Amino acid sequence: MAGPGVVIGAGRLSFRLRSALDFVADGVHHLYGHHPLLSRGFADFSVEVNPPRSLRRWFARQACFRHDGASTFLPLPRDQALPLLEWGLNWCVYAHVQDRLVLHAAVVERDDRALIIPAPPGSGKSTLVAGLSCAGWRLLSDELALLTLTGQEVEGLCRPVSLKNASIGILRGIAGAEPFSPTVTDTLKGDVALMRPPRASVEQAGRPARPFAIVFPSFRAGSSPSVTSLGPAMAFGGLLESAFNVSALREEGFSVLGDLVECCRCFRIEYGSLADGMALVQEIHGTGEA
Amino acid sequence: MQWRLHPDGVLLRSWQDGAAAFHGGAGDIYVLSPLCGAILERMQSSRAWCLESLADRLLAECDAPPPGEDWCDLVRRALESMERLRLIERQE
Repeated sequence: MAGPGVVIGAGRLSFRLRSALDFVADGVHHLYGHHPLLSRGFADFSVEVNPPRSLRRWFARQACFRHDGASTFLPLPRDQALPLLEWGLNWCVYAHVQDRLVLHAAVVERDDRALIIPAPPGSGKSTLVAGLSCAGWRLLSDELALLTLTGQEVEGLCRPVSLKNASIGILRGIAGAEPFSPTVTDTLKGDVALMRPPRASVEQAGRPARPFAIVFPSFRAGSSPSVTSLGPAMAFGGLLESAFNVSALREEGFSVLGDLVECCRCFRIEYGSLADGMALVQEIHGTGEA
Repeated sequence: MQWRLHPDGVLLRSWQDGAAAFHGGAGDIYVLSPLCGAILERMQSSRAWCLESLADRLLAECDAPPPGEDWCDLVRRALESMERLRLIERQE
């Protein structure tokens, strides 16, 4: 990944990734092992994770994320370079994509029914979709959902799933250790490990899905599983909090959100274990036509 | 005095459990109560309303008005809250 780097295709977007750090290159090759390497010169986003260019590199082992050569975030400890790359790629998408409505939401699909799972960090959405992807669901995204402005379709980039703290061990127990990056400890989000998405999901990353349901998850350790149906206005309010660029899209963004809650069933689920959460999602998926 | 939609324009989605409104000038989006949604719906189909006739119309169409509330006062407070959001305005 030194020099011109590699260009990776992820859904409808492409990313040029560069790093002089060997462990970052190894991590990218492992986590993006199922993604197509593109030979064309153009990439939608050109990013790098490298040691700082300033004097800082002589007294602190740090890594910087740069987009188009410009530093975007404060440097982080060098062992956090791989999560930093993923967080930076997320920023590229939600800060720059303007021809889609970008939601902070995970998306999974089965039988042509996509479930959009918007939630703030810590609500368990990444754990839930990682578990579902191990159970045969197609993973579109664990972090960012892209809604088309006209076709009522949802797209994902099918990038690695970012898991935190206890979720790492739970998913390792299901998927085995092989798909995982090394765990990075003491980040701002706690311990973080990235999980490679399934090959079948990556191969279909360019295929949009039809939204069927919107599910707001809430994980509370030890709680009993429950499902609550939400009206369109309540769901609209929840989605509004998750929509990065709805203001920039103005009327179009408003209409996309309105259409989405009108064409989907909307639920809030609460669960105390991954197995319960997956069972609730399966139950929602099985409820028939939207 | 009458009330009408703000001249910048308001896009509205109205549902049983509430409504969403887009302010055409500022670009702000608000999630509103079912009553506010019903008021904006009426204002979209008619130029301006006085409080009393609007309250009467809404009451006639309402399946179950909230018990123990002064209906006209409820509508007035809804109008004033939407005025603060610049979704509607007074017309002297």
